[in-house]
Amino acid sequence: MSNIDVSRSVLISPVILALLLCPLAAPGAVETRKEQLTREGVEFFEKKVRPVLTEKCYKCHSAGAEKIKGGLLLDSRKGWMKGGESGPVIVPGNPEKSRLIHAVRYTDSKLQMPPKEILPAPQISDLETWVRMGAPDPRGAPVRSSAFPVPSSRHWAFLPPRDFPLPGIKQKNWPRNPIDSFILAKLEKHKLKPRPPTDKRTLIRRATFDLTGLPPKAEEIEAFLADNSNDAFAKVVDRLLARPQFGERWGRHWLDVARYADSNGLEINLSYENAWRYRDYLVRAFNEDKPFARLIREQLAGDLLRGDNDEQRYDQLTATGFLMLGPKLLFEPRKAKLEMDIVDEQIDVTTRAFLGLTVSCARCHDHKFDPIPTRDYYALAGIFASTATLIWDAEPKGGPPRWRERPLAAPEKAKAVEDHAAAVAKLQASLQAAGEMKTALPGGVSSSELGGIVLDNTMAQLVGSWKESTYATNFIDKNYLQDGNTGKGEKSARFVPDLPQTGRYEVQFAYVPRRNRAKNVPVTVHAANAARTVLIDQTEPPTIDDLFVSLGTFEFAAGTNGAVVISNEGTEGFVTIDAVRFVPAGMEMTMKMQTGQKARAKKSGTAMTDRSIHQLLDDLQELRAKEPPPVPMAMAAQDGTICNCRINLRGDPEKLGPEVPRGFLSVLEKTVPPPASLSAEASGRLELAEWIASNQNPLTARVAVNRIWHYLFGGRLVESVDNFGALGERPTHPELLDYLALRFMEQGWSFKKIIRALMLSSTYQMSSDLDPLAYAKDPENKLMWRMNRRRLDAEAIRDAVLAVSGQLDLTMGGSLSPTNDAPFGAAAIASNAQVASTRRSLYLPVIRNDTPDLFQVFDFADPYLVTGKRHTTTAPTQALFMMNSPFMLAQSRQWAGALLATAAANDAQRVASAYTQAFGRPAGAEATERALRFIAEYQAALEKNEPDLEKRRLMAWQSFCHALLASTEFRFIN
Amino acid sequence: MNPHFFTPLTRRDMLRRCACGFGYLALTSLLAETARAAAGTDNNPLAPRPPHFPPRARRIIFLFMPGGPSQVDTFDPKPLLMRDRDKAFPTPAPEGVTMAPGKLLPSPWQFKKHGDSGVEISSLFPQVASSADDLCIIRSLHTNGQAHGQAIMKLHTGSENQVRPSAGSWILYGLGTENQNLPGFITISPLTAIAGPQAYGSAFLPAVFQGTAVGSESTPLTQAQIRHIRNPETPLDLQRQQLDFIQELNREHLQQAKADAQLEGVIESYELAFRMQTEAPKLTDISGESKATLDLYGIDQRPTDDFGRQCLLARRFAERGVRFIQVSHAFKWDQHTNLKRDHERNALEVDRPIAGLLKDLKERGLLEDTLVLWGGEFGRTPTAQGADGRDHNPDGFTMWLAGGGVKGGLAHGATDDYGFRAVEDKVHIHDLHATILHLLGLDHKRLTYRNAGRDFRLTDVAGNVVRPILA
Repeated sequence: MSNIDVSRSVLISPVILALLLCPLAAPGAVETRKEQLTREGVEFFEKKVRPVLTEKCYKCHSAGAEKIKGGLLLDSRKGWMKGGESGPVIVPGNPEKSRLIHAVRYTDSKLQMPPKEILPAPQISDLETWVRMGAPDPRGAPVRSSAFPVPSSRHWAFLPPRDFPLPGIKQKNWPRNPIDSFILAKLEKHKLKPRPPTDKRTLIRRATFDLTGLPPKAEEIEAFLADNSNDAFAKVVDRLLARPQFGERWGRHWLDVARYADSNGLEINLSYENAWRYRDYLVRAFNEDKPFARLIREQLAGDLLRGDNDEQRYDQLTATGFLMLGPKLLFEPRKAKLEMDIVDEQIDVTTRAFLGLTVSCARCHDHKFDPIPTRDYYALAGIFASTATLIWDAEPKGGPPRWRERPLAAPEKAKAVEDHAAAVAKLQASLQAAGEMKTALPGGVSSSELGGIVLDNTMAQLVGSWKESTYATNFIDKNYLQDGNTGKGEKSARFVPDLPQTGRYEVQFAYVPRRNRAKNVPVTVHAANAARTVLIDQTEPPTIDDLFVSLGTFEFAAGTNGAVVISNEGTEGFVTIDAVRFVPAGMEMTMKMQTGQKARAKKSGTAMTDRSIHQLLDDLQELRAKEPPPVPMAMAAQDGTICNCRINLRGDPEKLGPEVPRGFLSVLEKTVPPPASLSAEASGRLELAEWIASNQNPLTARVAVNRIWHYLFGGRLVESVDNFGALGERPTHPELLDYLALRFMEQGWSFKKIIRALMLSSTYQMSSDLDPLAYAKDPENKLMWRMNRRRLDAEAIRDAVLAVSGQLDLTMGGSLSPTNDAPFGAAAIASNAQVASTRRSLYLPVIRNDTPDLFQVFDFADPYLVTGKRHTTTAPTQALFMMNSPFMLAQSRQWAGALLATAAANDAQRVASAYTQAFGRPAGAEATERALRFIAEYQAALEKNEPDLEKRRLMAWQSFCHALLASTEFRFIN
Repeated sequence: MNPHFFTPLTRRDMLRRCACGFGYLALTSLLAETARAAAGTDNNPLAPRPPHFPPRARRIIFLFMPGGPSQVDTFDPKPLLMRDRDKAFPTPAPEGVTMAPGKLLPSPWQFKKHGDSGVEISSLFPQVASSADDLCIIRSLHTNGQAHGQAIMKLHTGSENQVRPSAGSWILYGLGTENQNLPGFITISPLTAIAGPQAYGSAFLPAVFQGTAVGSESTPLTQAQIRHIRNPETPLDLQRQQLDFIQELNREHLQQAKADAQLEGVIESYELAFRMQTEAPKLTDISGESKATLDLYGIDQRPTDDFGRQCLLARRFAERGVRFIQVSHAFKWDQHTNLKRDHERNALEVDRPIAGLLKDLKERGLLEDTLVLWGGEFGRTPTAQGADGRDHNPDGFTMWLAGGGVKGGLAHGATDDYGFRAVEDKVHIHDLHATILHLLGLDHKRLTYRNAGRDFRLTDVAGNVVRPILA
């Protein structure tokens, strides 16, 4: 239980704990029998009482105690019923007669428990409450699998939705459609009145943000104001639903739920360079109004669905990216653990996204609150374990596994690429074998074994005479260079890498140390924006795997723009040069481990001549030249080895229990009959998808329409959008929820139809103004007596700023990440693209651990987690961003420039135009005067800093524009 | 206790003090009052909250040594390593150690007894050793995660493989913070490559509880600053003029709305931010510190300058009521090779600054209610890797605490004869977290947050307070 109830102070964040927070009204002296255990009672016991007993009493009063004191056992219901040497210690319902309560109160000097220290007051009071409740205690009951006290089939969410008759209402002219009747009936029951309709300007602003995430344009507002027909707003809604920005807005909503990211995150933050195809698929799907049931099937099993044409097949494959996008702990050394972690992540996202159930809780033990036994978890786990998410023998060999990607191209094209890759891999394997044999020779390590981009000394451009040497015993490839300790200042070597991508690299230098070496060898790195010289002491051994020293991390452009130059200028002693290596920033540790392991793996072997290695290298080069054109790839699922899972005892994949046949959730067995058995030929994902997307499934449609409700209204129906289980909130309007769920399914699982119906209701069109009386009764607006005022989310704030400043680029689709086709992406590189782009926020790469500042401060969905409802916090960091960030400064300058460039206007008209753009309403006379006064005063104040009048004028207007963008009115939808 | 350092601002106080005034709120008092009641006693989720029980420490400074310092070379003497040098480790490799352990490698440094308590500390930390009687050394830590990333996440969030809120976020969520003009959870020079922002992230907790970075691993401390703390174009007086205008617009909006806790919150946040932006740069500017203080921390002297500045900043934040302050030495302690050279260099960089911090805190009376924690994500093997290196060791390592509520001059728990595994009074990272929360007045079992259908804790389903170390 949240002892510190921050969710209340985090402004609109819900109080989902109401149930647990309010200790239950004492039911009087109720006789507690096992069959009368209420869910609340058990929950209270589990949360409040059991922990105290376990921690404070069991040491002396449990079967496991070293010595049972006073013959009293408190580890079962039977124990305290029987009591100790002095009889029963609890009288259910009556704390005053319960000796246990006397003891913990410490009021009787002869009876004080626990003996050493009185319990904290809240714990004492919890025990009292518990006894007063009748001391509900599930322990000792023949626990089958779950302590769930309510028969599972009776939890509301597991019952099929019902078609309730429309409720009777008094204010008959208010409802526009049945949605309103359900809302109004509840309001009338509580003697509340709905707020009047909002004004048209507010309405179109609300609708435009809700459907497209963008502000309405001035001409759109004007057209709506001028349209006096009855269906004027319906026309607006239809027009907005048809805009391509609708799919962008609502696709992004689903990306929150799908924990979408363009990188893996965790400790190996590799780029998911093809994740964007899944994102674009969603945008298309929402724009086409693809039935949600279809969307479910495609996301869970698109690879197993038949397609009429290539385009459809590729779309379906791409959809399964849903399963692939989770964060993966790729460095986990235990294969089984990593696989089961991924399966767990897939179960979690699937069950929460579609069913609103937290099935993952049942990984280690039966679900504590919902009727989901561990067995069900492993039945589902079998399905996902039969799906191949990872490639274990991915290139580069010996590195971490990689997620699966599948070609979106004709089989023969894909095969050509595959065959070519296989041929390259084969050659590389021979090369590696050759390299390993060679390393056993006196000599060194083969560069092909090392990670990163290695330039051997043979690839250097030399100035002056250098001698090749193999005298020492540890060097890279066939030899190293030394300057003979002569011709100081005349000799140098230049290494020019061909870098595959722009980004930061650690530059490393390999030399062969010895006592007679120079202590101050100048090595200069020429990076994108800087050159830096580092002095290397070659008498000291290199620190990285005894081969390299780091020269630092630098920014480089792709291609052959950088260089490393080693000189013997000013040196005393021998200068040696062995190699230079470029390691993408963030990959240093990976490289190190690989080389470390390789070094340990050295063993004696037969010599292989350099010539054959060179032959292989030539072959490889030739083969690479013949590389077929790349085919587009998508992160996509594929059935793997079909198997059932064994229960992992306590979630430990190394402690295995009985095998469980693949299957679904037993609690819904009767409502949605699963297939008799799953084929041994396929994972069962398709069957699972059908089962979830079935019209019989009581959860799926409810969860979906509730999500839609939240995106449009900002709260309620079921406030816990991702949890419809026992610990979730109950619906405020269960009849309405069922009504919407049934219509949703009837109308072919169409998002657009439900959205349209909701927006055309009187409920949606109410004002958000306060009604003090209603507020006093229902401050959280659970009953929907007004529209909720909502803050724009991070993307809408950024997009609206860009729209107003005139900088927004509405190009759709594609990847902004420059790391495509990179063998491993240093994900940080992609984050550079975040800053510069003026595309819609949807298209900024989502790099786990590195989301843009604006996203971080304005509660962007954590891309690691399933997020059906974002937090809405208010914090000074938001104000700092708004006041000081280069983004806000640049955009307000752009906007001010554009306003001033409108030649025909005077300043008052400019203010009017700014108000319309920012707030969708005209500035009143007073506001205009205030604005002009501010601009004039600000401009005057600038005189001491800025001599140029035109500049002062621009700066003053910039400050004014900036102020509008930073204001609450810009950031909130009324 | 230093009550004068703390300005426990209630929201009401702040409104009263606020220069531009919120007096108009009184006019709409009835509505505003109900709005406030609905939003909780306070609008501000960072406002100080009472702990579960009286705390022994009010804030914490965590000195993080990334990479994993070797316990047998620093705070956990193992003389048998010398006697049995070059022998194989006598028992099978501990669970989780995948590579066969090498031969026993004695420490290149000498251990000596220090202080009245006589706790043994190696010659790597001569300055810290002079505060031996303040140190509460835990020699029996163990953790999960053989790789840096896992162990760092375990140490910072309690989970090695799931994304969870960091300890600092939990503490901020639990206690709020005492100075509203500064962030409540600050991490100075955090790592960027490994773990990165996850180590100070709020995960499913609201974003207001995430840590605020001052600089990063790759910025020198002289340039480190909070993001967007300064407007690069506008001088402060002009900005105030602009802010007054913004607030006028905001108040007009609020008036139209009649009452709205969210809008009020934004208005307030602007004032907080403006104060923060004047306050924070003053704090990171150490030019007002005396020469003696700078010397104490080894500032302006190589090689202690950078870490000295970090430690001094930590003290400055601590005395102004920041709740959780983390200082990270660079990712330098990972000595698979060159143990002798690099551990010596690392210790040299941090020894004096840390000792300076402890002494400075003590002199200012801050050590009594400031908890200082030192350590890495795991320790190192007592066996050799190569000739002069040690591998990762999550099964037994040392961290130490000092100050608020812990016994000084104590060595708690023990590893086996060679320092491989914790064997006596073992302390898991969950136990450490439970203990830290306890010292701050929080019951780790009651500090929960509902997410994804259950109540999460920093300590997951584990953790016991290590009572013997409590003063």
